[in-house]
Amino acid sequence: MEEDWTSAALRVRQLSELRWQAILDTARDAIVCIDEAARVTLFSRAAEEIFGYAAGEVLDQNVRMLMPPPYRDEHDGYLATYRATGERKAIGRIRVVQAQRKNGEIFPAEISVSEARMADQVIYSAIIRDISDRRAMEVELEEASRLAEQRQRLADIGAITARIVHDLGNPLAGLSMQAQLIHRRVTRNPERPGRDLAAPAERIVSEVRRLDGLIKDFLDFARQQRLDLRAIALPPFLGRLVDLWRPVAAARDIVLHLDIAPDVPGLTADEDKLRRVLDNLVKNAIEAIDQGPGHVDVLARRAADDRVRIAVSDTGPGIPASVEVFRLFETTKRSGSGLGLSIAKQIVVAHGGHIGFERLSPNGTTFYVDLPARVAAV
Amino acid sequence: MSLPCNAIAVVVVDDDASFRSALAAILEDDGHVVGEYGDLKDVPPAAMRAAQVVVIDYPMMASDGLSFADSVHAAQPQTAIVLATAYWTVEIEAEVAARDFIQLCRKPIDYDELHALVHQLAAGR
Repeated sequence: MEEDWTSAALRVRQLSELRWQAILDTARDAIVCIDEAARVTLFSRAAEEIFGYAAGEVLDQNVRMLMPPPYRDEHDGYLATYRATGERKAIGRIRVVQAQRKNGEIFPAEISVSEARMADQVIYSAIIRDISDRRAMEVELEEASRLAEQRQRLADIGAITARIVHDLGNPLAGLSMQAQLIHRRVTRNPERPGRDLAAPAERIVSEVRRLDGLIKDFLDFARQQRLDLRAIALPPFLGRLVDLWRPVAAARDIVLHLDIAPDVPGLTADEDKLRRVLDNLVKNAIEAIDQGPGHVDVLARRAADDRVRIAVSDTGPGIPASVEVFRLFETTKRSGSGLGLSIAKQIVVAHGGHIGFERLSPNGTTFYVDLPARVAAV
Repeated sequence: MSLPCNAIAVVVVDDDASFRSALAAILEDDGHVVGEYGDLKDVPPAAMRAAQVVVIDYPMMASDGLSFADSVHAAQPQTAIVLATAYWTVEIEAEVAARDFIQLCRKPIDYDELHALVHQLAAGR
């Protein structure tokens, strides 16, 4: 009777062990158990395949043999710290670590460690997944996206170069002709040039100023956007902006109107750069109308997701469907550089914001900038 | 139009005001009669008809390639056309090469060379 009970218990135990063995043998992830002294007590078949060791080579050895330096030398320390403080670094989390095969190859692995206590014994078991394939794919993807970015950059540089040739060639021809005019007038009548030299000289100066502005635009576009973030109260900030543009608009019979909702929160932004973005939008709006009567509205509103929307609307003819306004060098203006909105977009994106536009019916356009009310320090 | 004996009627069409006004001023200093325009559509038909030489920037007529030059040439073959441009492509060069009534002149332009060209063109027509 007693014997029967014992043999039955034994059978149950054997069955249980068989079941575990089956699991251990078929699991695709490596299963490795260690005791409190970091000695390996279990090394599954998948562990043998992944690490390249036979179980017999690893059992009873310190588990650190499966790790590359410097982790190899730090592992005993981790265990000691955990025993002393209970502070968990590995247990209960899935982490990506470096592991080392018998042939010395180091590979990335995902590891999750659990802890089991029985009487005075502790068993740490780890399930380890070799993710070198996945990592290689990720690296490949990263590389592909980096290459795509680089190609875009090169394409931009190509477009910039062609544009410089085009944009600087004409003004240079103008400067040259103005200088030849002055030269001819002076040499023709050296005592008393008499004829007007002031006009061509002034044109040279203003043309050089315009070219200088163009070069600054190019520089701004090429430069990474580094932000100098400060708190900005919108009413005075937008008030100054609108005050500055009002005479320009009035000269073209355009009414410039500012409307700030009372509940608009302040911004944390780079004031100079944001100013540049909005200057650009207001200037574009005025130039879109060209000659009034018309009006340009600057609005500030609280938007969804704790954002602030600043919108600039015009009553101009609208943007043709074929124009991609944010593309580098895209412009509808005869003397536009096509850089303004590209730079504006860079600046807004650097603030974690979004810039876009809507076509108004029957005519006109609204450009808007959505910015987080609070921008985390960059 | 009655002109001094060496005076040539020139129409300058260029959206670059600096280039256009300076070229016009030098030509006028030299006694020529000049009409300067920022856009092709601003040129009065009478001025175009009177022009012995038209100096025009390529982008000014880029919307329909060289069709402007072709139509001027068809209507008034005595008028010479100088294509003054800072930027052009192989395609534009080929288009120009196929038309002997167009002279290509690369910007920046040396006035003396352009002046000589204008004289030569005006005399040849």
